[in-house]
Amino acid sequence: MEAKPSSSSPSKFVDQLVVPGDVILDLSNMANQTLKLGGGLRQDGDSICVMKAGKLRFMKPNKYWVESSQKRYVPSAGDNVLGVVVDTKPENFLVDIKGPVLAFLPVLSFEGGTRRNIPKFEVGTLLYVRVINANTSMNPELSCMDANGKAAEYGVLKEGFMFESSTGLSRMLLSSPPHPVLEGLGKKLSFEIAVGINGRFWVNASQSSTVILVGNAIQKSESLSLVQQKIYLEKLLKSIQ
Amino acid sequence: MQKEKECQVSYPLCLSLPFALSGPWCLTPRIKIFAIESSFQRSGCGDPLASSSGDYDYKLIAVVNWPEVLRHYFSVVTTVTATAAAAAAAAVSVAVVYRQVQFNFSFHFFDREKMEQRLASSLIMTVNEKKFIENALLSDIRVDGRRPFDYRNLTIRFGSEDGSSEVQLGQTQVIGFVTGQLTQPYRDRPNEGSFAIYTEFSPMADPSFEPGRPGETAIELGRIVDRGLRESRAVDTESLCVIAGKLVWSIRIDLHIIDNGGNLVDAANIAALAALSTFRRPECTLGGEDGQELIVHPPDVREPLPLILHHFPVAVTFGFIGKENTVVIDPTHYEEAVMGGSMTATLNTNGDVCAIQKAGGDGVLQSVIMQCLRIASVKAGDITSKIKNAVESYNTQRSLRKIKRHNPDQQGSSDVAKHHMERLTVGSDESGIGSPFNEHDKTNKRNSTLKGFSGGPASWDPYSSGVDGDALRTTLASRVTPLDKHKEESSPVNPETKPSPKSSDTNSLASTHEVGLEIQQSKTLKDAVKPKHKRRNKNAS
Repeated sequence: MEAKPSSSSPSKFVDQLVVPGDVILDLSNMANQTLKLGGGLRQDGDSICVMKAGKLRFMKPNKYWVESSQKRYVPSAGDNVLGVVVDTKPENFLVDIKGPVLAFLPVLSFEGGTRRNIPKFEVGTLLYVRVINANTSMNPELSCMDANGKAAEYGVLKEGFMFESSTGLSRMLLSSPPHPVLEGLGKKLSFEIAVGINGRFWVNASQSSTVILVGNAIQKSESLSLVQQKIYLEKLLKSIQ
Repeated sequence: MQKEKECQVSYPLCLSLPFALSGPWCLTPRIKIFAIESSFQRSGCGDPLASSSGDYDYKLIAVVNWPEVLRHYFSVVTTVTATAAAAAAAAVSVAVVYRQVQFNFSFHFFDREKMEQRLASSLIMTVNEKKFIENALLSDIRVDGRRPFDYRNLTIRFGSEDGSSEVQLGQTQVIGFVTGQLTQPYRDRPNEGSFAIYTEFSPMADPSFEPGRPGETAIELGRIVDRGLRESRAVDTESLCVIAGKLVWSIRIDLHIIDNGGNLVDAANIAALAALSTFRRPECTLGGEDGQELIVHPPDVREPLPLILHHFPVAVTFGFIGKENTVVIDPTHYEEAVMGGSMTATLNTNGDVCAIQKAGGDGVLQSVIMQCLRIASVKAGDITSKIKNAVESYNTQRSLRKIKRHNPDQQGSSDVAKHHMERLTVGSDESGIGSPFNEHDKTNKRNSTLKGFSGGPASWDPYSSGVDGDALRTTLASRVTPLDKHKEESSPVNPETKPSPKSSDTNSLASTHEVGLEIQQSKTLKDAVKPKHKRRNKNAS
C-alpha cells in the first residue's frame, strides 16, 4: 500500500537472510507512518537495524520481524509449548520449557480447578501448556486453559515419546502449507502429534516403531529443502512397504 | 514419576557428631552432616541433586531428623572438605529414602534461583520416555532406529600433530591427545616407562558437567581406560626406557569430552587407542664425549619413533534397561538416563578379556554376562579394524606429506643410498638391506605421481619454500638414471640444496638447514620405504 521509493525499501530484504548489522529500512524518507517491529529488529535513530541473524519477514500493512531457528527458546506470551514438570510447590508447578528459567504453572490454572481438585503431577510429567506472560525479569507463567477458560487440548500428554528439535523446525511443523514430511507420513500412517513452539514435539501411535519412524523422519528432514524432503519422504514410505 | 531412590549411605558415626558440633553446626544449626562413601545405586534417573552439584568436592546426603520435622524427609546437599579424612574411617551403612520432589527451603547454602538453575541444567526426562524406551525394546527397536546390538556411526579423525585423535560416535565426541616427557622411573620399576590418563569433561559437552575437579563419572572413565591399557600390558613400557634407573619416557594421555551423546567410555577408549597409535616420540641416543650424555634428536633431524602397542583393548559398553534385563549396546544419553545398570567389557581381537567394569546397578544373570562378552568380542573386532584402517591411512598421508615437503630430486636419492648404507653399517635400524635400487624405483613411482601436483611443495613448510617449479620438473624428468650415476652427481647436491633453503630465515642457519634437509630427505625416502616394503613383500609372497 505504501508506495515509498526509499533508498533501502523493505521489499529488497524481505524473505531474505539478514545478519546483525544490516540496515533494512531508512526512516528518513518515510514520515507519519507507524511500523511494528518484531523480534530481531531495532531502531537506531533513523534506520532499522537487524540484531539477530535469520530471515526477514514482512506482513501487511506494517509488521517486520526476523525469524531465526535455534535450540534455545525465548518464552513469549501466547505460545503453545510442551513443558516437563520438574517440581511441585504449594502454589504452582515448576515446569521446564527449554527457556532460560523455569516457568510457573499455577495449580489452579486448569478448567474447573479449585483448591480441592489440584491435579497431582509427578516429576517428569509432560504437559501441553500456554504461556500467559513472559517478562524477561520474571519466571514465565503458564496455563492449561485457553483464553476462554476451557481446557481445549491443554493438559497432560500420556504415552508416546518427546523429541527435541530447533525452534525453526517447530515453526515449520506448525506452518500453514503443511510440512511435506509430516503431511506425507500422515497420509500413510496414523499417529498423534503435539508440537510445542519451544523446540519440542511429541508423537504417539499404537506401535512404537511408528513413533520412532515419524520422530526420526521429522528430525532428519529439518536440514533438507522442500524438494529433498519430498524425495526423502518417498524413499521412506517405500521402505515401510 | 515418583523418583524414590534407595541410596546406600555409609557414614562414620564416630566422626559425624564432633564434626556436626563444630563446623557447619554453627552455620546452619538445624542440619547434621554426615560423610558419605559414594556407592550410589545407579538408578540412572538423572538425579538432579547428585549430578548437578559437580563443583563440590564430595556429594553428601544429609538426613535432617529433628523431631519436629520428622514427618518430612529432606535431602540436602552441601560441601565439606573434611570428608576426605572422614571417609577413611570405619563406615556404617544406613539406607536413606528420600524424595527428590521436596527440597529443604530453609537450607541456606542455596538460593532458590541457583537451585532452579541446577534443576534446569540436568537432563530433563519425562515419564513417557522411560516407558517408551522400555516398550520399544520389547520389540527390539531403539529410539534412534537401531537394533539392540548395533553401534552408532564411528568416525575417527586425526589432528595435524602426531598423537592427536578425534573420535565421533554418533553424537558423542571425544578428543585424545598423547604427549611424552622424560622423567625418572619409579624405584621398583627402573627399566620401565609409565603412562597416565587424564580426563577432562568439558562443560560444553553436557549441562551437568561442571568445570574443575573431575566428578565421579570422569574418574570412572579414566579408570576404565587406564585399566584396559595397563593391566593387559597393551602399551609396551619397557621400550620406553632410555637409561635404566635414570631416564624413562612418561606418556601422558589426555581425553577431552567435547559432546556427550552417551557412551563416553567407548568413545574415549577409541580416542586413546587411536592417539597412541599415531604418537611419535623423539629418538634418543647416548652420545657425547663419555658416551653417557643423552641426546634427544629433534623430529626434523631423526625420525621420531612410534610406540609399541601389543594389542588393542577395545571397550564395549552394555546398558541394562528394564526389569527383564534387556541389553543394549552403545547406549545414547537418553538410554543411559533410563537404564538400571551398565557393564563395560574391554577385550581385544585375540580373544582376551582385558577388563570388565560393572559398578553397581541392577543385577544381571551370569548367562547374560557371558552373552554380552561374546557379543563384545565381535564388536571389538569391528572397532579394531576400523581403528587400524584409520591409523594406516593417516600414516600413509603422513609419509606422503613428508615427501611432498622436500625436494625429491635425484641427488637426494643418491644421498639416500649413501646415508642408507651408512646406517646399515651402524646397524641402527632394521629396515633390511632391501636394495637401494628398489627404493629408488619406488621413489620414482612416487615422484611420478607427484608430477601430477602442479607446483611445489606444501606452503606451510618454510624450509622448502625455496624450491622452484622448473627445477622440480627437470629433476623429475631426468630421474631414470641408475644409482651409480647418482653417486657421481653427488657433488652438485650441495649447491642444489643450497638454493632451496636460501629463503630460510637466517644465513647462519642455512648450513644446518641444508644438512637437515639432506638427512631429512634421506629420512623421508627411507620413511617411504617402510610401508612400501610391506607392500613389496606382499606382492612377492
